[in-house]
Amino acid sequence: MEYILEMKNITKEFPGVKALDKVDFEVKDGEILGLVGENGAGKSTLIKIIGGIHIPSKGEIYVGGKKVVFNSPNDAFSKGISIVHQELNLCPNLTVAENVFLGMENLGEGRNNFLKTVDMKKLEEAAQNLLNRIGAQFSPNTLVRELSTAQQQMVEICKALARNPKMILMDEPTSSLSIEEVERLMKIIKELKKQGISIVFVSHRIEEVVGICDRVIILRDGKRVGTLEKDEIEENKIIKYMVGRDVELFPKHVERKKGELILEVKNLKWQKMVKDVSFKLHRGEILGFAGLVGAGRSETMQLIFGINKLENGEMFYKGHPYNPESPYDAIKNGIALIPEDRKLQGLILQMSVKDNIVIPSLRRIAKSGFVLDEIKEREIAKEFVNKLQVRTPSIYHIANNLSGGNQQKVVLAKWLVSKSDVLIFDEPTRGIDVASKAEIHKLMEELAAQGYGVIMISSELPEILNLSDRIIVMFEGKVMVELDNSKRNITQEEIMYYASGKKQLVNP
Amino acid sequence: MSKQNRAFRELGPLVALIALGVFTAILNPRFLSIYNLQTLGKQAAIFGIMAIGETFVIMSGGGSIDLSPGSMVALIGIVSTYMIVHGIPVFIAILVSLGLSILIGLWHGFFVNKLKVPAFIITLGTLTIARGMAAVITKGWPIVGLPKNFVMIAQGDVVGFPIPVIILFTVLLITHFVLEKTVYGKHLRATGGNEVAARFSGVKVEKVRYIAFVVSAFLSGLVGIIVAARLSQGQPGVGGTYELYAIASAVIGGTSLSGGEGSALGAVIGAGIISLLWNALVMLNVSTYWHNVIIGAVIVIAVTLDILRKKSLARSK
Amino acid sequence: MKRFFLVLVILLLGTVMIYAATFAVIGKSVHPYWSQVEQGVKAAGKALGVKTQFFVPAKEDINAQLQMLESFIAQGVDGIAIAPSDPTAVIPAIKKALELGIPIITLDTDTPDSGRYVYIGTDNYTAGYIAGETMKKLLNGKGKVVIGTGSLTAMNSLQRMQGFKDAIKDTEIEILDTLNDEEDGARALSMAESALNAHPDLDGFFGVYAYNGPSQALAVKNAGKVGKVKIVCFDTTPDILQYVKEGVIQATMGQKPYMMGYLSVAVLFNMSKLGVTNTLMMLPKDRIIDTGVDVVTPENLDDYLKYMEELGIPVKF
Repeated sequence: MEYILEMKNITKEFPGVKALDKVDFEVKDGEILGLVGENGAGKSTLIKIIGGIHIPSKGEIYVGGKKVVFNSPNDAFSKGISIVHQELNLCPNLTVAENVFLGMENLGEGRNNFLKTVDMKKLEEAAQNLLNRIGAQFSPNTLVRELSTAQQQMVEICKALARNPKMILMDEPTSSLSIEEVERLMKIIKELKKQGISIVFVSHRIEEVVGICDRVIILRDGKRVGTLEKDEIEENKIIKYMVGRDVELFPKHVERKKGELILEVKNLKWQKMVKDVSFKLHRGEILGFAGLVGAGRSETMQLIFGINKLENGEMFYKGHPYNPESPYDAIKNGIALIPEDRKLQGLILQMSVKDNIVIPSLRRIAKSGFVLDEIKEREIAKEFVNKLQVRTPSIYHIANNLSGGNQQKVVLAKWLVSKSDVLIFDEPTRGIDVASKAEIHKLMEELAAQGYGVIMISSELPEILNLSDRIIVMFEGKVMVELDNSKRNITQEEIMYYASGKKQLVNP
Repeated sequence: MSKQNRAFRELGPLVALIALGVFTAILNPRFLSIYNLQTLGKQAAIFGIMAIGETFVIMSGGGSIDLSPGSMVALIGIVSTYMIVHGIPVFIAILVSLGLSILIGLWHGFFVNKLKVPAFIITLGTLTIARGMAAVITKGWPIVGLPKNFVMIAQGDVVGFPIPVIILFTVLLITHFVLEKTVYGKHLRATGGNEVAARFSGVKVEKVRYIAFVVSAFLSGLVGIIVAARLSQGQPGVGGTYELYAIASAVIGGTSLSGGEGSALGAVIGAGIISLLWNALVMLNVSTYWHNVIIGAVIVIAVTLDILRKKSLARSK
Repeated sequence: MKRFFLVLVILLLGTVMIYAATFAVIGKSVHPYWSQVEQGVKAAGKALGVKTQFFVPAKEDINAQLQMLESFIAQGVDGIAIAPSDPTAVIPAIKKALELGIPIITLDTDTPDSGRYVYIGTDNYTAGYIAGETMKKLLNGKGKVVIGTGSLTAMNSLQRMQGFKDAIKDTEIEILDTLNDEEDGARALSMAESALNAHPDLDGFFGVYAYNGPSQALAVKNAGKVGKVKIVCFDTTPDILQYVKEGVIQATMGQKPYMMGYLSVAVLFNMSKLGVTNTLMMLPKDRIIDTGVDVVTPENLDDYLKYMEELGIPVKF
């Protein structure tokens, strides 16, 4: 039998929604299969069915040719199917070895109950073997909380391997990894393939899918809309299937005029994260910040936004010395941050779209400064929902129910309402579907053209290269180089070179 | 929470309150006598005012809770009556007592905001300290000999409405307005809903929490004065476990223990349910051995039903 | 070496000089009642020229009592009197003290199984019986009565109620309800008011704990039923005596906490000077010293007040 896993005619209905509609899905022995689709296309429902978390309304599942029913995550496990979820499910207070063998402390021998004694030495040896298999460098008795995200993901992969799987499904494994870490993960995936394990690679980063997959299955609106074999895999084909039409990821660049100097920072220092950062920002430009995770980009912006207090250095805003005590000060001055973690830092999820949009401006909108003016709030919220084309059933809809792209627009809207002059975007399109991504890019270009000073931190190099007028590359808390990109002529290689800490570019 | 949803938020507990009232009235019509309703109203005022304060604190999120109200009732009752029997004019004694309450609220806020001590711990400290101070001041003796104009605060009435009930409605009106119609109310919800995002949106999270703790302490102090006036004496032992009734009232009224959600009206309805039970169980001649069992069961049932109702509402959307 | 001896001699001298018998008394809570016990303890200590230590927890707290008891045992005091909040929980500690040769007696609340030498206190059953007799006389053997108490588990409450019930057994007095307020004065008042509502034909209240009487009196007074609803209660706190004076409370059972405190120290003193066996020979065979109650009524109030003043514990109100 050629297929490790075969699913036929899978339909899954939730009250009022058909999440999956007669979807066929099959994984071949030893292949790397890409599974792509926009948010809401049915990817996560399919993954949950494979993992035994959801039970399909209709359809059959075959493993190794035999019909099976998955009623719980354990059923999937025992049939050799492991899942590495996007949100890592590790206990930070336990060691690597303890996490890898959590729930199978007996290493698969005999019954595993609470009264069994645990042989830590054996566990650590076994864990070390697994770590070696994927080339991980850390020790099995490290506490998980001391590991980086990428390392924690390796622990998750080891955890999957410990169950001797025939197939590992990785759900958005690269979403919080740096460029280097992604490369290492790709190596691990290829290594696992060599060891005879099939991989299902679920990602919204199309360039990664193109780079590694042997076959790609595309879902849209709960249906399987396309399959691409190895030689057909191309970025624009995938996007076309995903969106259902042609989409231009980056808007055509229109020349815009660099305006007056609005923000200048000199020799910023904060703890060990920001060592020496100076730059200038003008109205009407997009200033891109590139660098590896941990280069100190977000921390620099948090100083400007008043989240952390400057230890050394100076800032000038509109020609005056500027040193914010809190975000409140920054906002009052007209500096806004669209943070990296929308759900944690950007939105109050259980509040309505309207409330989220007006919250920084409540005092200004309110009558005599403290009595809420519902009518005015509603008008303003409606205006900006229309302007930014936020797709929401109403402005009273709670923010949690919107897609990532629309949530990001809500965050942006609140800063436009609060009359900001400087917009700082930290990873503006992380986790956002392709179509919305293009919309956000277009908005950013428009805002710059309208005279806002725009700063963008991004780990997606195409974004940096296509949108920025100038690019600052940071490494270990310092500015490595400032590049003029007004001609859009900087290359990915150049940025990678500086981002890895090298000083002088010789013969690019 | 959408607009439509919010309008009906207190419906569940309100229905429970009315149902309990109707049930009791059918079994014992004397339940509806003016005198009994006044008794009930006074009790509901005591719990209701405290529950509103508790709602502010719980709404501010980050695991905030105020365990001090019961002991505050005892302490402020003692402090105010002590001053009065030592010749300080009633009006000034009340002002000073309420001032002390505000200071205690600030004290809570300081520990929670600046020193990052969990609210549970610092207010637990006050629970013990305030109760202890009440005992220290009085050596356990009740403070008696209070003038009529003080006792009136709880024993007087205006066209049949006991003054505590009038105080309750005044407090309810003001706090409802603050929670639903002012910037502060919105900022309180935001802080409780997502502290980080609120801070990133320019909300002064610390200030919001300071005010929440001050409101709670102030209202507990107010209740302390009402209770002392109601008993015609300052009693150092009064109000034990009232904080639990205040928390239960707030939760019955729809306050989410994880913060961000809550309403003053709901808290008062919750307090109404508990007070009504206290009254109804006597009116219905239920054996006193069963009283606590029934009160506990009703709290669990009321909260569970409300959570289920909200879940089904959310699903049908 | 010389220096060492010098220090030793000074230390020994010091001990002998400081040494005077020390007796410890452990009460139940910060309460006027226990203040009177303390007065008695101090007076006895002064009269006998011994040191006394008096301890009460802020609220009834058997754990705090146990810790205190153990630390007194560790200090090696010459005798301990304790009023255990939980009669069984203290048994091991008392047995240990007796093994170590420290005489232990109980006051106010007994724990006969512990092997304590003597119990000094009100015989609560007898006192309750006297209260019942008093009620019988007040109601002419016919009527409806509600009991208010702070506990349905504490021995003293149960014995008082049992005595009361036994005294009215063969009359036409009917007990309609027993209300447990869990030692919360405000709840006691609420319940008394509710009971007046539920039973418009009520003839009498029996208040078991010290604050029950005043709560019932306030409710009766507010309902305008003074004299119509008779109140028999326990203890002689100033507010109770005030109500007795006004004729709202018809009779109260005055316990003799001062006597309990005084006698406790006296008995312990005798045990340490004359030996335990010799002391016990002088005491009643059942090893119970009933301090009895004074039935205080509006008629004999003045005599009672005069008597208290003579004891040096004047009651002011």
